[in-house]
Amino acid sequence: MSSTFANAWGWSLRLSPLLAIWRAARGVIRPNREAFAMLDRASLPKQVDEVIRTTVARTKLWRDEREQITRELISHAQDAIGAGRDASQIVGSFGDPKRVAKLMRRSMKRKRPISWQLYRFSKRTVGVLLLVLFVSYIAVVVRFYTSEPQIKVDYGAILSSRNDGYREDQKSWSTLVESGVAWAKLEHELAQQQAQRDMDAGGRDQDTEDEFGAAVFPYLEPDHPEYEAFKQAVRGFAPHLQDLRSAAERPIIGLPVGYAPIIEQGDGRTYVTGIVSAKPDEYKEQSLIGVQLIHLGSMRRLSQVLIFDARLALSDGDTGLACENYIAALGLARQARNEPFLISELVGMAIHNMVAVEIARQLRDQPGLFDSDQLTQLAHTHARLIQLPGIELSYERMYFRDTLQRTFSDDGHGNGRMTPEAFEYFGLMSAPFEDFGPASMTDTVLIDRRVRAATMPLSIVFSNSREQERALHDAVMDETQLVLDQGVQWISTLRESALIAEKVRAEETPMRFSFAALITPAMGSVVTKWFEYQHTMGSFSVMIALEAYRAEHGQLPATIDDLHPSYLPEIPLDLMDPGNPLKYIFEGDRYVIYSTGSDGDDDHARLAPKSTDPYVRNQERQFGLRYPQAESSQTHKPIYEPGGKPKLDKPQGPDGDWILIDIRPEPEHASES
Amino acid sequence: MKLERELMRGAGPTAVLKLLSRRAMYGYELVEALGAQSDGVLAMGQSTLYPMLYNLESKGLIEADWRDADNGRQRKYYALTGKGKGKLKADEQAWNMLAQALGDLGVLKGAPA
Repeated sequence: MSSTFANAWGWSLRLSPLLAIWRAARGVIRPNREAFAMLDRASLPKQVDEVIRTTVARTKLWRDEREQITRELISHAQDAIGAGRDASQIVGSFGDPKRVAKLMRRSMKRKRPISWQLYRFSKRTVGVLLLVLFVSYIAVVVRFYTSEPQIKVDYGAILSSRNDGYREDQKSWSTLVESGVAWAKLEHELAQQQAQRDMDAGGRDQDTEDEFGAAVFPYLEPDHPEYEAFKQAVRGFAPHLQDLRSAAERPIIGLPVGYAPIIEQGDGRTYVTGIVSAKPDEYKEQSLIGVQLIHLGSMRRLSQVLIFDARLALSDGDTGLACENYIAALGLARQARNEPFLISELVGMAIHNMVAVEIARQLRDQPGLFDSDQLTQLAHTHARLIQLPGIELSYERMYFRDTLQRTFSDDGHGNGRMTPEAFEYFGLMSAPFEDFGPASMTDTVLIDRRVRAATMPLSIVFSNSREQERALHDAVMDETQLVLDQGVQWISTLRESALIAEKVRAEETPMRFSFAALITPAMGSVVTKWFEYQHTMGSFSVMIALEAYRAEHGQLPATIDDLHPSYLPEIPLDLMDPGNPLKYIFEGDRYVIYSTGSDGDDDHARLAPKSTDPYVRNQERQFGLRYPQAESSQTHKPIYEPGGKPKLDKPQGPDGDWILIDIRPEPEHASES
Repeated sequence: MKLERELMRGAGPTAVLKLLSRRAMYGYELVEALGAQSDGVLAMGQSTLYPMLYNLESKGLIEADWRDADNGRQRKYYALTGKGKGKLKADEQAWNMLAQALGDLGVLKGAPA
């Protein structure tokens, strides 16, 4: 029993990793001490002694291993001497010390404990892995820096084709640009005059400071210190406004595709006065993102000038001119909305909203201001704008495909990997405007240039392929388009691809990023904006039509249906009450236009209380609470009806209605309980 | 005549196992015995023998211990283990098959061509 125990103890001691570490550590300091001491004691012939010393020292083994070898070689030499061999014979039969040491080392290592063998194996494995990784990295670097995009499709030409078939006198862009520059110069003069007046007055008084006229334009009140200056400026702008009213009637904007604006210098400022049309091969050098939309900025400002001019006309009692201006601004909104780009649609919607709010404000403050014909004309113009086709995302897809063809390689089958150009693009697309340029990356990419150069190639491995990027973008666009086309009841379906894009974006690193994920988060807000636009504009349509009805009949209609078709080509629907029109109630000569709100039931214009739940509050006007998609209780995945329609859950919004337009007397307003 | 290295690498360990199957032997004794009993064909120096012995030992085919010799010194004796005996038996069969095959091919003297 004790022998077994002793054997087990000896065995475990020999195999102990701690013992192996101790043996290895001992060899660091004077590794030959015991071995050479044994040789000293053996008193072998000098030649033999030297050969053994050299061999043992060269083995580079642990101290106790050198000791074992030395002892054995001494014994061998002594046996040889005992057998009558002389020193030269022994040395001759010994062989080359270097080779012998190598063989000894190799064989002795095989006798070492398993813990050391495992250590050596893992060290070698790690070494091999590092080597494989390094070789792979070099291959990736070579592939990355030698890959180039191939620009094959002239999307600029496709974009240009939207203007085909229209004559120049059917396009408004040149008037928009010319008038835009003229107003920008006027506004600059106004700002300089104001600055001079402020300087003469010893600077602005911070406590009583009025907002700068340009900041509150076109809603300057007559008591504003800059009102008169703006009034004179707009009066002087009359010829341009006349041109603008004429241009607003044309079918299209018709700006040619071009990448280079024509710039004019004046008063230390630059003005974009035109555009150089794209040359046939220019698309190879210029991205579609670089297409100049020189008219967009001025369209909104010119609409504001029209509104201010309408205010001046109303103050002069010229309701006809005011109506002309409103219809002109609505014409600009129509032209912008008819352009195929999303940004243009959004500008068009914003102009439309601005004009509608202004008309509503005037109608509320001055009932009976416009006659029935004017109001009917406004109501129909306004309604036609709402009936324009909805947002169509095919050009957004085109922009994305153009980005892909400029940033990814092409394997000939539509797939490919990121090229160095992708990083230039990513910098451009994600940089803040004030710091525009390839050097300004987002936080994840904003790193040392050398580190970036070293990590960029890894995007081949970690980032999406061209096909994956396109698939992700298509998925988000398909979902968005589906909701836009099918209507607000589908809004909750707009989440899966958005979630994927969000996930991709969350996982972005200097080696992994995604164009699709960069672009797609904005799509959710586009959808919300679109439904908000429809809903709000519908309510303004009803309001204008109500005022037209009242102007003709001297009283408000009993129901909203009485407005169709004379005052409204179509009754606007309540998006929160599918298939039914917006709600309307009146008390005497005052009325409320409202929607059932996100709880989906008619509370007779009782305002929905503000929720204390921040999640709900954020969603109050986001439609999602009205149409939540049912989820499987087991998988939590959204459920669809057999035809692909989302199966909806019960509305989850707060009790009460959405008051869209309320011109009841103040004390009778529904309170926000 | 000496064997080529590859042949020696295959035959050497079997020869050493065979010698040790008769009795335990020390290094110098093995060198002498290999040279004498194989007519020099399997002769090997200590540079070859000792690494080979360490390898066999690491595989558990032989075991070693230091013993007192007649001349008063100590020598390290190597002896076959049970595992070594099994290995030797398998090697002998393999070599016999090889010799038979080479004989059948007429490579070995006196064998039919």
